[in-house]
Amino acid sequence: MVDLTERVSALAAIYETGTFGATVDGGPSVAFSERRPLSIVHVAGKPDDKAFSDGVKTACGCDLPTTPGDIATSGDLSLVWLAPERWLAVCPNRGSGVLEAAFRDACGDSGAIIDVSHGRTVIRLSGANARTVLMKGAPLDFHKKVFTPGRAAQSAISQCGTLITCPAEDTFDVYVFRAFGQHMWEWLTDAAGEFGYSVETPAT
Amino acid sequence: MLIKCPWCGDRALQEFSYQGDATVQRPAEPAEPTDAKWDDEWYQFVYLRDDPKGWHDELWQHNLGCRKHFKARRNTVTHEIADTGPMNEELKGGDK
Amino acid sequence: MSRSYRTPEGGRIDRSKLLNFTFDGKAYTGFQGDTLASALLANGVKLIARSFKYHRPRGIMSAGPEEPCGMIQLREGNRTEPNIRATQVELFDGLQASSQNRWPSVKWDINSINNLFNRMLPAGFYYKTFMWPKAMWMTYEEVIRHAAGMGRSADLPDPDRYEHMHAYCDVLVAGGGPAGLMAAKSAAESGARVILVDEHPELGGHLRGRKSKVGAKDAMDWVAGVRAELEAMEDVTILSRTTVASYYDHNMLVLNEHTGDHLPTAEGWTPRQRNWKVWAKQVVLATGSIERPLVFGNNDVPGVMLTNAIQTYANQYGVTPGNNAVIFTNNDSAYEAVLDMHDAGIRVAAVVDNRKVETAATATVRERGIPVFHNHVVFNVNGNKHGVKSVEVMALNEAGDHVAGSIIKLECDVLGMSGGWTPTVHLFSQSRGKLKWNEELTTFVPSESFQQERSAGACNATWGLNGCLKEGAKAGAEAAKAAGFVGAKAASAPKSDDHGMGDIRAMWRVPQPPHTHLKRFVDFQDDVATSDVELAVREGYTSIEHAKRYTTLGMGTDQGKTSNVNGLAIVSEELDKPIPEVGHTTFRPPYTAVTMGAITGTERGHHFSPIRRSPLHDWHLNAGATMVPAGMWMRAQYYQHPGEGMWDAIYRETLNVRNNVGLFDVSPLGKIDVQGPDAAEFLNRCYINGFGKLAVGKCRYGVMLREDGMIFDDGTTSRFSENHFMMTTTTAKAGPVMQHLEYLLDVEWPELNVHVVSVTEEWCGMAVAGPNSRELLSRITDADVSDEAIPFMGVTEVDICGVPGRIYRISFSGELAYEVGVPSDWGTHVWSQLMEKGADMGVAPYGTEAMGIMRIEKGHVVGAELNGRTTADDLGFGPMTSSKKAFIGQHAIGKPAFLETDRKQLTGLKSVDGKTKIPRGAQIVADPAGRIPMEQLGEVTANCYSPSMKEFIGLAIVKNGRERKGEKLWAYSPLTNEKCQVELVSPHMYDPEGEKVRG
Repeated sequence: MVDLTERVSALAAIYETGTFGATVDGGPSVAFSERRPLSIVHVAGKPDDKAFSDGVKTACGCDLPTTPGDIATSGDLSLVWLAPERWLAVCPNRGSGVLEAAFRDACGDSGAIIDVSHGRTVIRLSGANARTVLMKGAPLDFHKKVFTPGRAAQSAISQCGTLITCPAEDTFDVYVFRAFGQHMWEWLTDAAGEFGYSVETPAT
Repeated sequence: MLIKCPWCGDRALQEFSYQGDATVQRPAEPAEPTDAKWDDEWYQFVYLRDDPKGWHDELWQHNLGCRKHFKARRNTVTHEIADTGPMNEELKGGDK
Repeated sequence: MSRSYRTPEGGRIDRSKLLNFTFDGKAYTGFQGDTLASALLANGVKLIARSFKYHRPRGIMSAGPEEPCGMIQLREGNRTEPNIRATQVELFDGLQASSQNRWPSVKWDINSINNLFNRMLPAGFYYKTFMWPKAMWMTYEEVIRHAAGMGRSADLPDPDRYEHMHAYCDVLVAGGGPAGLMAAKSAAESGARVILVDEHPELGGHLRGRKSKVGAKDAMDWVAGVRAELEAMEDVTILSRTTVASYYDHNMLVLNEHTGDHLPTAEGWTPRQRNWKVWAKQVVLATGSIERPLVFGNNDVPGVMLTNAIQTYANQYGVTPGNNAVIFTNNDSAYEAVLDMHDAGIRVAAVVDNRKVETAATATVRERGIPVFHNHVVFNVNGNKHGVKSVEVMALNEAGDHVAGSIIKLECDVLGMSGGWTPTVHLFSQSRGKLKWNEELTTFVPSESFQQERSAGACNATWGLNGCLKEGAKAGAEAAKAAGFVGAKAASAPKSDDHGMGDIRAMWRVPQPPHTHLKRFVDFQDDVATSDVELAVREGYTSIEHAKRYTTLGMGTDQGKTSNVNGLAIVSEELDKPIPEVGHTTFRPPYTAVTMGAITGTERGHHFSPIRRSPLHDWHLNAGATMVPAGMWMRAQYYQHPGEGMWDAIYRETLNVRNNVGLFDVSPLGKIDVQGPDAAEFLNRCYINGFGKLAVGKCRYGVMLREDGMIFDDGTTSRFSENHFMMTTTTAKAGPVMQHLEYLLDVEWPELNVHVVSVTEEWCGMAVAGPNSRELLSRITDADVSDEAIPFMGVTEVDICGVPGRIYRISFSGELAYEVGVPSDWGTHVWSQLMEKGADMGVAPYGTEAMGIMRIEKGHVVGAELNGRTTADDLGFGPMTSSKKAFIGQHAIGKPAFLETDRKQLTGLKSVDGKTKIPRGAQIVADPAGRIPMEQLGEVTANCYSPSMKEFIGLAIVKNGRERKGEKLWAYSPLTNEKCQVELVSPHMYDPEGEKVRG
């Protein structure tokens, strides 16, 4: 019997933990892991509609971030600004439909809520050279003083649209559509090759 | 080029796509479908575009970013961008 | 063994590291720190290449990126590269180089016969001679190209790694000479983020090749000190071996970093080159200047060099390009070089100075006993492929336009020339900055800036070292201030040696004695001589841009770095117009050539384009599917069993759906979640048919038009609640439809409260098709799947194999069919269950080919028919069009052109004899034996063999096709000479009443 709670990652066929790339003094300076399983819900609505903003607060515990590129957090949940009326709520897997239902119940008709938990592959990279790896791919300013923890930006890496977040110092999550997951994994790890990189066990 | 998305700020050209002339207005729905004036308005809207030299109000989409459409006042000769803004705001600058 | 031209000591080379290399197969040695050019000169190799047009012998002329002559073929095999400047190649152990533009060898070059006939090869010769007869140009071109050489590019895949990099900074400084270093220091000290770029391995600019002092220190010690200071600062990035290739709009610059070119091979993960895109708030251009050649007879003989190049070879590399030099100058800068040469042990036979008056600099060389000929010129060089033998000198007349008196012949083996200095304004000019002519300095200098940049130092026509240091410091501080660092201050510049250029006596063409016709080269790389420029003007090419194209002046890989000013000055003299009126040609990026590899970066091979993989991708591969690209997606085309041919597999898969049950991966279909109080109204405006009354739990096929009335896309849309829909699009149009909807909501109808989100990747879609599909479905869900529970076009949300899913009762195959959707991570689980539970029934996956056959049998349209030129009515959707509401494209479809009776309409085709295949892409005509051109009645959009109906069928769009049912026409492909008589039939060829789908 298949364990029905088991979700199969887009990276299942290629995911291998260990140390790869160049052998560098001091060891690998980039660590990769897939963040999974996650609950991800796309939340849309008008921030000046109190029913909506209150609903969001009720559903996830944090206020809507309205500054472009900001991330609000509440416990293990992050609410990422995507566009003037769009956000992405991300947290460790709460079970099928649970997070979506929480937002729907709280926001009612004031919000457009849709579960996209299976539609994204989220690749975490961290370490001293994580920024440099991203600089190879995306035309964003990744300077330490600019792309700080708590910030997010959407851009493109290797022709794929991406959402990049900075949850902590020298740590970045790269969100891509699931179908591009394997390509993005291969591209990012290849770009990290010169620094040496490790692949850790997936975690949320 | 560096284009200022009204929400995301200065971003590289490759995140954007040009979406046409921001000055054209989609005509109102027909009151009377045989109205010749209405017919001409639609013809203008669908087929005719100016090719201005100099300042031009354009429609862009930040399609690899927040995906919002916005207006940009760009000089078609020098590529200078005087101003960008959401659809419902007036642009400033340039010689307009 | 020829004697070494290496000084006993000195130079910035590591004499303890001996490097072996070969040139034209012959072995030589050099030292770490050499360039290929310095190492060749140290070995006494003077003949490097044959020139492009006349195949004249050429040697090394410069010591930098301006080199017009010393171009070689570098490396061998899959890494070989043509047209590489030997002056910029860092020597490494095992380097292999060869000369180019020669056959069979650089010493015995057959095409050098062109040189004997060079009076027959003036500018425009090829244009004039080989254009007639017109048809022969291709043949001529091949022979000419072969003779012209131009080096070889590798014909094997490039084994090296290339990368891109993106960066932002407050101040980018282009050039690491004295001005650039001071600019970087001043800007960095203010706290600005600084990127300092220099094309050489070592910073210092011209200081590397001179013996200057900065303050009390040797200049290069000072450079090392500043570099160390900058490196210690967190926000400073120093990129050496990096060229600012291009300066684009909005202060975006492209840099080409040579990360691995100095290595024998860039092994492993080290890229060979990196292409940087940098967005800088402010730019300081400190790009230096380039010495100008003088234009006199046979000024291209190997051994005729720029004076500063001889100085640089002596000082930086410990190389003496000759033993016995003559220097020909029109300014003071050469005198410093003469002293350094003399120090390095080079005998300087004489300095020939065209200026009438002695300057302070003159005395410094006279003190060493070196004769100086004032008001004299070198008008001719005697020499050959072995180098310079002697030069011929004459006095000038009073006006300076003729030579007079007797010829003085001076023996020498190297001639240095200095025609003044040209600021390197390439980047300034690329940034749209305006140049102005400076008569005193006889050169164009930066005037008005257009972008956020400023020029400092020699590129701004500031010649002395003190001036460069000061101006650099000031520019760096101003740039930082402009970038928002208001407290920025110019770093203090140490008082230093100062050598100026003095007064220049411009002499664009050195006169020659009467009745002498010596070749005086202006552009060495393109073999353009004064006579070519004169001819171009005589023939009416009086605009500088036209003269450039006619003569090819400045069009080589060196972008005319040494030739532009001389060329345009000669044009101005010929036109008798002042230089500013003649103007200059446009400087275009890149400054030096950029490899295709660097431009491509990682986007090649495996990463050429991203691959989109369905959640079932790996399942398909494991099942032995042949995959086919569909946009970025890879889809299963067919699943071949052992012993089966391709068509066997495709027909088997088709019949298994028609007679049993098959599975098809429809995940790539675009899916867009549409929510909001105005969602139904929005869909009504987007589709030609109505969605307002679509019941919850039902789906409907819809057709979308463009504003011009042509079909944009089609698909089914399901309703899950009053305000919640999900639209599907074709795989190909998923992106454009999404963009279209966003446009409408953002721009045209912002008043509608609707949100659209792409959910394509959230769902794994599986078509379960065939008469046994209901039975199979009942085995994977406990839900009621009866016709009553899930009627045709019904949608329901149910548990499938223990996961939440959706079942849509829709059919593309024309059979009883369902589409099952489950969240993607569970796709493989559910698909495997379907395969397992249906094993006893003979369930089998089918690919895009079988799907294609079934859709042709049913007359369902795809991209071939939705080709942007068909209307809803053309394809039979006319009756669907609502007249009760407004929708996109509505205004157009009532126009006369849309109502014409001979519009091409969708029609089915059957092969009349039942045996002949309908040719692919064929035209529909009345009689293929008729006269050509014949009337084209339509075109075949799809064709196949129908294994169900056992005949050849197809789809076409044919003029007035719907009214022509039963008519026999021909499908004719003149291209492949295939024809087939076809009968026009209804496109719904299989199960025309649609009973099966509703079963």
